[in-house]
Amino acid sequence: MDDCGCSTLRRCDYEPPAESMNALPIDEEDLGAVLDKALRAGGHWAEVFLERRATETLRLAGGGVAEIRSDLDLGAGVRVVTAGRAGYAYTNVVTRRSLVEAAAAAAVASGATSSARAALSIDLRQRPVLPAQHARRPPTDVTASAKVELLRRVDTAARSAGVRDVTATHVDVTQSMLVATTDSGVAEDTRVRTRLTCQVSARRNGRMQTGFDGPGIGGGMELYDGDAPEAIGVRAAERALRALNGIESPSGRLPVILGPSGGGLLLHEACGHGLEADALTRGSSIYAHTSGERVGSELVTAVDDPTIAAGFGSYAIDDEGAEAVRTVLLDRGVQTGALSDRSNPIAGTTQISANGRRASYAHPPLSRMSNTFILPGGSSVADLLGSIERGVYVVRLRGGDVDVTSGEFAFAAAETFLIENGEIGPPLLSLSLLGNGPDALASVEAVADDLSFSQALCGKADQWIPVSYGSPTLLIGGLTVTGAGSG
Amino acid sequence: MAELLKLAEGVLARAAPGEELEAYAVHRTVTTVQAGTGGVIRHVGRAETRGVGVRLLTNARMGYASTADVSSDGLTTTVIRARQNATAGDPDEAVALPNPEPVRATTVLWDKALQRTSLETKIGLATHLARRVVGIHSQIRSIDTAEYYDEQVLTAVASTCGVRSEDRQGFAELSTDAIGQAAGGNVADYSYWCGRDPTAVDVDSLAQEAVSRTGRLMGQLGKRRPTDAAVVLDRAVVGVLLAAVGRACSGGALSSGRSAFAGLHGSLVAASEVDLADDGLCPAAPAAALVDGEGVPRRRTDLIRAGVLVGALHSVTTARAIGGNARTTGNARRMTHKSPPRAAPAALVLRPTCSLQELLAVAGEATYLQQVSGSHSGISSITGRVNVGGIGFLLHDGQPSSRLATISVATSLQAFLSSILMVADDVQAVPGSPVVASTVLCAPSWLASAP
Repeated sequence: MDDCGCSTLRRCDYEPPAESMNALPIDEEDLGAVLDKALRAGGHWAEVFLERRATETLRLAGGGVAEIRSDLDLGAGVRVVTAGRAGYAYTNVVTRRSLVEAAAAAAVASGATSSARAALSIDLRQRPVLPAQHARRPPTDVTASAKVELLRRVDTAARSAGVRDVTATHVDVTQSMLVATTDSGVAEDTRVRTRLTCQVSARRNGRMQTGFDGPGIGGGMELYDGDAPEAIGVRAAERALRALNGIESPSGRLPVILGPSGGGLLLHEACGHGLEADALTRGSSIYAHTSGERVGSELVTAVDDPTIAAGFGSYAIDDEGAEAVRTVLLDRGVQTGALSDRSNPIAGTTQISANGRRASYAHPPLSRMSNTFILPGGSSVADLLGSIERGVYVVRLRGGDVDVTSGEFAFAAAETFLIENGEIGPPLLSLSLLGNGPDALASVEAVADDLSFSQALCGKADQWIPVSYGSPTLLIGGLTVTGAGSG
Repeated sequence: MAELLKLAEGVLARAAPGEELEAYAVHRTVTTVQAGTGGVIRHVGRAETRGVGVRLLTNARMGYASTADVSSDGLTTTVIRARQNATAGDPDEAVALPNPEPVRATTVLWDKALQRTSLETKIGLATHLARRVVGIHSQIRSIDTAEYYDEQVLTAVASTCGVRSEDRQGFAELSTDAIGQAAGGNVADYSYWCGRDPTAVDVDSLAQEAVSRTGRLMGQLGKRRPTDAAVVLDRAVVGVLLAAVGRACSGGALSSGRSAFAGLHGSLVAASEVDLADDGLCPAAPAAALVDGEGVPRRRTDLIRAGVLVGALHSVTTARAIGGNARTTGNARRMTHKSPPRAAPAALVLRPTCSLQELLAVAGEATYLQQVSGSHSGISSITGRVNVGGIGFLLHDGQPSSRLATISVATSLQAFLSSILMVADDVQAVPGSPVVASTVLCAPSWLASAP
């Protein structure tokens, strides 16, 4: 202990990367004081999550700049656990005094009662971490005017393709975070992500359809090196224009081919959420009692991997400071893994899969996905199409809901075609897919070799976090299709 | 409160000649309690945050910046960032700050009881609710989470145009789910309470409601749904449909054409029994406030009267973009200081036409939709299309009978509004939605094509 009564701090020789915002206005001594306060108040375990986040949002709509905004957020959350009960307090006044007060409040909230406990020696050595998201071209080095010009290129390309109503939005986030716990020391991570979304609508003969494209990267402005702004605008426009020619979708139970984006979202919603350990622990997931059992087709092997370089959902450490690892969720259809966090370890063990994530310091961590995907199979997309006499080809899903308890899901399809005699037919008007997660996974009859990823913000308990999901094209033997047409 | 207004006013001195500046300051305190099966406390959270958002207008260009750093240097930096953002933007003659308007409403949206309620009492509400759910029904033996949440928010707006407003709101929520073990697998539904005084909640009734709602979904699958049966929509279902209607009625959507109701002002868009309004002062709505996010007094705005689209929801900017006689309706909404105000509903309310008992008596043999799945992406306020899964049961003589397999609902918002026959008076705020919803009876035609 040092003179002020705080825990002794030791540092290794690790130098954090240059991007790391050492501007975090708290030093090791402050962290020690906060954790020390939590334990002295009777807590059994404590954690400080400190974050600085700069967000730039630029939106072009109706041909002009509709919005340019910058936000700088800085805050910290203190979690104290006493006999299994967690107390959490957060503040965006980041001073030693306010954080010590937060620690005291969190300790009280955790049910801690002792105030006479001697402080423990807390090992706050910093663990070396190599960021999984690294900006080769940091967004903070690019002016707002230059970002506006990128949006104008998206807008111009979309309009040239034949749509009039275009909304293009660029968002970049630079987050520096630090986690200090009473048993694992200190770990820091820097995360940078950049995304562009383009939403268009097209009208013809009184009919209106929308189109969307929204690539993102766990990185900086190099997003636009791999995906030119013009291509993003054209893709969104072409989707809306194709849909204008759509016919009413058939209804009923039909074979469905899901493109990579659609298959990835199906996995994310209908399986991934059910394998988050908080739902498993509480018994509220349909997968709560099927560990080790077959819950999907032998063709399906699914993983969650936060270590993917430049993944939209990647991180070097999770938001509890645990080092990121790849987790196999389904191995040839057998349920083998779960997405766990400190509060919800893997059943029967104290192991965690480092999937504790939070939207910001204002939230306690939850079990969440990162980059979740199905591994590629050996078929070609042509093989899949050729096997269907009459069905539906869903290129993308717009989104959906899943009831984790029953496994029932509903997805709105965004880009769909009729399949007739093994050929892609006319585009279809809006339809939804209804089904049950395990049933759908068990009905996968073929897996193609064209794995690719999509990016999104995933919501759970009012916390929105960046994720990606991916899949090769899948053939599902039967799902309920809800269109306005007859079967 | 005076300190917060002083903080906002202090930003204004940083305006340069020719600039207009608005500062929005917020101070929020939040309490959350989560309990699991048996009343086991999993999480207790307390928080206090503050921040300032700055809108800066120069040469008809608007820039926005926000910060949690409310030191003098932090605020100066924020104004500089807002100025830089304005410089990079395009001129837009519709962009403007409001002129001051007096607040005349006397609605009470703040109850000292919320401030006085102890943490122990709040913990007790969540744990008591969690314990009460189990034991009412033999096949409902667990919950996912019983949750207490409250929020107390102080806001202040000051601008170089003379606006000076302060507001204080507070509300509490208590909710739980109930997990039932049914023949075809587990099912779950929830119950929800929202109010200004947490000690006023009837925990036992809330537990019973969660159990009843889940219990209705646990029976054996019944016969196929008769397609000529009327359709009763639960408040939860009405909530998601009206939320989409509200988005379609926002000034920004209408002025850009990105609305299912674009160009339909003055047209019949609903059954003649339908009156829909946004009541920004509705005491039952968490989002109600005396002033909106740019300091304009909130009010009631009629959107649909006798089935005719008569109104839209505006901020100062969207009203100017529409032009003509359009004026702000006090619907500039901000979720936090981090985002500029946007025109959005606060509390959409259908005018009740009957009691719930009368509605159920008229419904007789009907389809009751208790939940919809896929609403986030399956309902478009732009095209009006509705493609969702419906979960519910058959009503026999107005009482729940057999459970239904998931219904494919492929229809439109316009068809929903046009098929409304009766609106009950059982109004309740819908969680996470700007809707104070009632149970609604719709004509069979709304689900006629659904298998």
